Amino acid sequence: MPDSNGAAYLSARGISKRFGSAVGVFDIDLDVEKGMAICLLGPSGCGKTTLLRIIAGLQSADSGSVRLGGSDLARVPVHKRDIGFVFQTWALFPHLNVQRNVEFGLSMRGVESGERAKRARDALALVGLEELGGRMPRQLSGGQQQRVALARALAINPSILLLDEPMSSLDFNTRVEVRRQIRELQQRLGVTAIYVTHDYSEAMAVADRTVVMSAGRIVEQGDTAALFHHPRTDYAARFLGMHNVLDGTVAGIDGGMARVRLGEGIEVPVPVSDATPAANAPAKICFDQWLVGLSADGLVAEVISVSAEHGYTRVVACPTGTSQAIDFRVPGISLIEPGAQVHLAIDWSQAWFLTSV
Amino acid sequence: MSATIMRAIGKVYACLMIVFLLSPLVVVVILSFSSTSFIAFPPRGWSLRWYDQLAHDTAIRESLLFSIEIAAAATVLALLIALPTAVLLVRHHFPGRTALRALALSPLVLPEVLLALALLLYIQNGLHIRPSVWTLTVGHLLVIFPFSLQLISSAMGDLGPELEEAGITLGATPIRAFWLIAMPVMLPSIAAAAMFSFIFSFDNVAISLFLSVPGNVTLPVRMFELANTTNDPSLSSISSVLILAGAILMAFLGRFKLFDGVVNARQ
Repeated sequence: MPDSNGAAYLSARGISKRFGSAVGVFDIDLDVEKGMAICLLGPSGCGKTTLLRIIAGLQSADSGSVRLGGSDLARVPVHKRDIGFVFQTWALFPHLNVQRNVEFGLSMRGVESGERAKRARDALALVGLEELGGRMPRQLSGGQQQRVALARALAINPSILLLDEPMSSLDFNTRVEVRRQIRELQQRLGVTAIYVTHDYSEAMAVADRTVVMSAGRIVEQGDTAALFHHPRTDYAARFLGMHNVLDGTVAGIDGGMARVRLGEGIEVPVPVSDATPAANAPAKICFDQWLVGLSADGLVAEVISVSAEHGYTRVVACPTGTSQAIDFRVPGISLIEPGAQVHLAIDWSQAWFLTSV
Repeated sequence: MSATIMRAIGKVYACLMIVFLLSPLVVVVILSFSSTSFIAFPPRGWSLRWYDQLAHDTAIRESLLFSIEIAAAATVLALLIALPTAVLLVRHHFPGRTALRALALSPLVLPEVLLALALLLYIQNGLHIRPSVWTLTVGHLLVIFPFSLQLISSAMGDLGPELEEAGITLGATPIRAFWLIAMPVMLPSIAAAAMFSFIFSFDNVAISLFLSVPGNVTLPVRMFELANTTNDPSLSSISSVLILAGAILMAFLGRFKLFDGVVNARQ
């Protein structure tokens, strides 16, 4: 986390941009420390790409400032910002071969041709494509084009690397491979990076810190592992793939435990936190789908749906006394069928309260 | 089964259409080899006399050169104006953009004769200048500009802003990114726009007729006059030469895939 005197490497303050009615970004503050990779995560239209393009200078903001390495970027034109930008469509120059694509940034900087060729080859070697310098972009697979785009952005030794949904046009297996490679490179080179995606598994794979956005605002941000483990807000919990967000009422608070009433005859103990509302107020609680087990006694529930996933079975069941479903995982292939009665053992001490924003 | 029949019907239909479209051209070419000084089909005898006459016809040669000059000048001007206009219309959003675009494309939907008459009246009574090579060139420019603009705009729309943006993030100034990236990528479309502009200008009769300059007549106007005054096959030899030139141009366009730029013209 940045300290209060603004020592972050990249620091955006009060960024606003409106497009017509409701879309855009509104009064965003963002800090990125040197060498860190952060991820802007949110659904399409949440403003994450707009924010990235404003940082790059490809889009102007209505208000706010961006500082990089201590200097204000307001008067620095895009072509002098030393930014490595990887586009969603990769934007390889179709009339230039791979080598010339990667050399482009260097030739704009007046690097002489021998040095240029060597540095471009080095950049291609970083992404494992040193053999393909003579190919044209259209002769490459999607994954290869993606890596050329990355090499081209890295070849100029950028002060910051910005990636705009760089994986969205790749198939699943390539995506997993390329994002691993991006993370490995980013850490090895120590380059500061901002990565935009709508896919939380990408954020998990590439980012030190994740910023969850919705409707042009930052909803929640934090260390990626901690955030995914324990989102604080209702929105982030749902967006990060937490299926068990339940509505209830705080029935009472006894010391460190709040009794939360989830339905007719269902009251569970949840540890008190900052997010715990006052007694009798509505509350939202969340718990991990892996922390639910089947037992001989426990919450009685009726199975609604069963679906086989890779290595486990996903079961959705509705406890008696409430219409709220609980989503959980059973290892391997389960023989449970919809309509069956099960007993759920849930470690409520691992559940937590969510705030609504 | 029925798909096979449908395909067969389609093929027959396509063949008939081609025969229907090409038969007048074939007749013209056959007539040009006639030996008689009146038009008879099929010809009573064969000769190359009309080609020989054409080769020695200085008036025709002058008209041909004049047409080429006008078409070349109008084409160059059209491209020089269409490129920045396309950048403005495709890449920038400003009030009145749609209106400007409609205005630029409006000569496409106006009858050419009306346009020619209006231009003549404006030049003579509005600007008080005599029709000259320059006013004729401007007239042609007006007719071919919408084609250039449309072709280049759609090429630029297809190109999208991202390639240039990538160039700019890599350190190119916007102008350099345009020249080093957008221009080479759009070159086939620009070449296609140039070809078609040239052809439309070369073919034009209405503007050339109304804005004709004393002493200088474009080839289509010369042919128009010939058609009214002579009854021999001399016209068919000129036509045959033009058909041949057109065929060569088409082959060239196809060879370099320049039709793609036209066929892809969406919006």
